[in-house]
Amino acid sequence: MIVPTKHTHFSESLLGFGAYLLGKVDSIKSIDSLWNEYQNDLSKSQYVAKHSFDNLLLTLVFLYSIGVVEEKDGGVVRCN
Amino acid sequence: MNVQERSVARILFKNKIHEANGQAFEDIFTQTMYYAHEGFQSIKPWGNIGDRKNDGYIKSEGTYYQVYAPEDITKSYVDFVKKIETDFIGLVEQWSPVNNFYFVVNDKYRGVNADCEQLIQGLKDTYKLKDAKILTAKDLENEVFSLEDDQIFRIVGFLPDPSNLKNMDFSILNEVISHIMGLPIDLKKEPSLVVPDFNEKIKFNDLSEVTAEYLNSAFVRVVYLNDYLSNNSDFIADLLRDKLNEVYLQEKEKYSGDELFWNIVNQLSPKKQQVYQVTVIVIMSKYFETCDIFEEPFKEGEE
Repeated sequence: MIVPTKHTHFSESLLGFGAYLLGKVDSIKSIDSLWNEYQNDLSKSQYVAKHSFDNLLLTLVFLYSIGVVEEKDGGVVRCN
Repeated sequence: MNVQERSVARILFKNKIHEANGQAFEDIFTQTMYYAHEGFQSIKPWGNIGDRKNDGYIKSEGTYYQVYAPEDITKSYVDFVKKIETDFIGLVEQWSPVNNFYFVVNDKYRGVNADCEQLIQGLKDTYKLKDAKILTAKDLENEVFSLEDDQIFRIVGFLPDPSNLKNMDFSILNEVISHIMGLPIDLKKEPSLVVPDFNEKIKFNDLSEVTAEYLNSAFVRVVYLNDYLSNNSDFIADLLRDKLNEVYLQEKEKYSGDELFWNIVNQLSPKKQQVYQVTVIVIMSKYFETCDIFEEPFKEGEE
């Protein structure tokens, strides 16, 4: 689900996960490092919803489709 | 052990066999043989003399065992065939009398190829043995499960105590959810955002006290369902809602009240057994509370 619903919390939606990931893209980031940072935050309960790696990829596709991130040298960067 | 305990023990044993290569497999074999055959004696490899091609034997019968446990038998069939012959020739040179010869191999339940079977039969005929066979994981399993319960536990490990398990059986939940997801229906209805009073909704939908009791007690365990759903968060909660809603819309054409409730339970249960039905009612109570199934009560002035 891109947007939250009655049974999908904001943190479980791609929109919520996207907002979180966007906060992590402060410089050029590889997919692996984003996944590792998320796993780290999840283990410390700094992000509450569990997402699969597939969801992370879907979320990045979503962020790319709305024009907030782009690919640079094999990594993810924010659009200016 | 009852049938269920025995089935779980067999699964544990199979896992052990799949993980056991080399010495680990030989240890399982030796332990089993010590329990199963009183006169069995294992032979430990010793310095530069090794085990003289004998991993274990029953002296009074002249029965000898050689054990072989490669990581992947299919990758080493040439070595395997060679090993049977060289080990046997080495054995008869150093031990006598050899009446029976068993080559024990960890085939990981895949079976052995025709060459090996023909070779061992050839050895049996040439050396006039009473018996010669390749014993595989299934033979060892049969040997293990002919033992006393305490001996089986010693080999496979102790079974988990069901009373120590949590309130909700997650394997059953998983099975029920997989079953619901596989139901072949496709009707669409937008989810309602109304969350009415649980008890009021029970009355409004003409559900009896007994059914209400089932729903109420199941609702206590919705916390475990939510926990499960949040750990498997690939929008499964929404998909589950859709499926439940579809079944509800279909069944409400034919039934109402308790009959409707129990028909939905039976539709959603993979088997007509209490464990599944109870789990289905937990799932139903979650979506009952949020008005995704059954009708929401009208207030005065509403249509």
